[in-house]
Amino acid sequence: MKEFKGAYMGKILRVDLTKKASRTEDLKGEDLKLLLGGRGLGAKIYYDEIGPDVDPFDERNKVIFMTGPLTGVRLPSTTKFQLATKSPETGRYLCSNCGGDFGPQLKRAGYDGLIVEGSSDDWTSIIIKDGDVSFIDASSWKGFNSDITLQRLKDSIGDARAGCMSIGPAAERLVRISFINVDNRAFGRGGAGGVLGAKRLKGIAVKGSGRVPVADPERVNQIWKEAVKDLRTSRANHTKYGTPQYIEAINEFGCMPTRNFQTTFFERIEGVDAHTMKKRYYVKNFHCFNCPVGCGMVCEVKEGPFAGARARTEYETVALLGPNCGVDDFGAIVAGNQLCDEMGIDTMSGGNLVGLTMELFERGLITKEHTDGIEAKFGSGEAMVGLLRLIAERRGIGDLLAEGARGVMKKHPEWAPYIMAVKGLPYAAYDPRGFYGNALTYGTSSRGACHNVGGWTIRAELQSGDYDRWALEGKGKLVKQIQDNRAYVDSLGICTVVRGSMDFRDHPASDVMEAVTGYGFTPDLMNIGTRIYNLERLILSREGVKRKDDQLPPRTVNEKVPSGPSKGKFLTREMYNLMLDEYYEERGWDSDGVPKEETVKRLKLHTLLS
Amino acid sequence: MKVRVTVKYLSALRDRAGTANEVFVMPAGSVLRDLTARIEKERGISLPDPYVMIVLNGKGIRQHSRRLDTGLSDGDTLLLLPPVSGG
Ligand code: SF4
Repeated sequence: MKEFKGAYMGKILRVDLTKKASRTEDLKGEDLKLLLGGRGLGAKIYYDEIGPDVDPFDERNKVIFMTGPLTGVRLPSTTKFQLATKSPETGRYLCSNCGGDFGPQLKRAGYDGLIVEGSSDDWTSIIIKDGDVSFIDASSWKGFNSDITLQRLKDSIGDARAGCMSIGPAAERLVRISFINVDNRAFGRGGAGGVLGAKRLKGIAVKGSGRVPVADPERVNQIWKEAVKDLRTSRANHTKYGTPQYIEAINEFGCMPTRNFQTTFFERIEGVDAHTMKKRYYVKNFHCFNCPVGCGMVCEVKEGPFAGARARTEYETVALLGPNCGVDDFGAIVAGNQLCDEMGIDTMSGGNLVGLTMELFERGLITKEHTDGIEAKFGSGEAMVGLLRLIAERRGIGDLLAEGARGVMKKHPEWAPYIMAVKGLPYAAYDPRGFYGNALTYGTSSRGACHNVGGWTIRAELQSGDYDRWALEGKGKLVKQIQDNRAYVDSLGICTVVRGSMDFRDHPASDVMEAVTGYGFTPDLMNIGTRIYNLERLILSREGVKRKDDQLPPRTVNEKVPSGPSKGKFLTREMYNLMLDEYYEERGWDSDGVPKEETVKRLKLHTLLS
Repeated sequence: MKVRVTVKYLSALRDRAGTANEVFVMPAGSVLRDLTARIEKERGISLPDPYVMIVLNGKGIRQHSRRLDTGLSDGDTLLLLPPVSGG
């Protein structure tokens, strides 16, 4: 570790819930040089410790939390840390990225990472105060909402500034789309909350009294000032409207998920767009740790059937609880969002499963008998909120939906035409028929149909001038590049919204990494991203993933868009597979999507994993 | 023969324009540059601007081979919005 003069704390904390014991381990400098930290190191630990035979709810499953070199450093939005575990939702490798105070506090307590393993007999919570690790009885917290649990954790550790994470009642019931609430941000996708639920771990609190060292404090200070100045202009719209600013645009582009992805344009978008949000529901901005942007939009419903509901709404949530359920009432979305937060479920998978249920209901494939009396029609805000509650409480059809898209598909393979998921993870809030690159994004993301890990192509497909959004050529190369970029950024510990202000792009400048770590990481960062993505694919290959698992659901490759700006656009399985061939070729994977030996060697993965 | 082009101002651009959308009636043979000149004159939004994305009939302006010289047709739709960068 002596090559690093800052950024890393050099230790990982390992907590065993079965033995109620903990110990620390040293980080290896070589691993960091090749994988940075965060998502990269999390994937390596997963590769080494969680085999393909481990069930997500098995006590042998572990939850690996890893910060990055920039987490907790005094630079903008150094809030992020990563999680790796076996996903209850997909049954495979899951990586997830989250903000909040937890990551920075973990580093201040002296650790770059935390691995939770084993399983407790009784409900417990972990309290970490610098080098002191203790377990508290949480049996009386069972059934508490995730936000109340956060407050209990803060009370228990005795410091309101502590970083805390918790699960809600859904995770206790092993709902497979349960999230982990981290200081009111979330490890949202993949159902990691259920893993903590199976371990009977209600929450973790951490408070450190140390500082995260940097190699060149003066230079870091200067970079901070320049970045904050840049963000005031470059991210002004995020401060003003948050991610809901994209609602109108995505709709106008013709890729808004509408009524379970039946079409890509929502006719009543004014009810849910950013202007409506700002005018009628906005209360204040929410800032993650050290973030001058504060893109979180705290909203409250002031009148109507959902009066009193309060939540922080993001683009993905608005799109999937709104247009994807045919709902044009922003108040209903806030209420659905709040319910998901309190019960502890992912709004994105939730919105997909509700959209699916509504389509099944309208097609007469299920009735009110299944929905606990709910008239599950598209457009009904009450039905959307009610169905989310059924999932969180595992009531009626909610018990089946709580098994996630994979569980629904297993029980009802005849519903496949309506299930919008890849590898068991439901679609993010973009219809790939509007941007063909996005089809590859969903097909080849390391965790299922995710726009972040999979590579968000819309900007490049629309803005760069290098691509036609409805062409197949070049999309394999594009998606690979965006995925690799995201993999290294996820390993840094900063928010993707601010990274441009510190030059973390496809050709990152060396300045920031040298000032913080004292080590010359650049220009190798994109190669590190490529290495991480291939490491994840090796894990997935070990878990049985092949070309057949990279395919898209029937609706995307069988149906023409029926309305809106993308009307008439379509993808076929053959068209998609042409893009997939190009992608595998760019990646150095064989025709079944397995990394070739020469690729593994070129990326030095054979030494890293031996 | 005139060409009618619908211009939509999305998210923060709506605040700058003071309206959500409007129709510009342009003389036949007009190109995009003629329209952006009118938008600048009437709405005070000068284009091109690195913080404004221009999308003509579903394609980013850089994807049109002739960019601001691109000819306009009756029924075209122009979107103006802040650059997009992920949800
Ligand atoms: S830009 Fe938004 S998501 Fe990113 S750190 Fe800031 S508040 Fe959090």
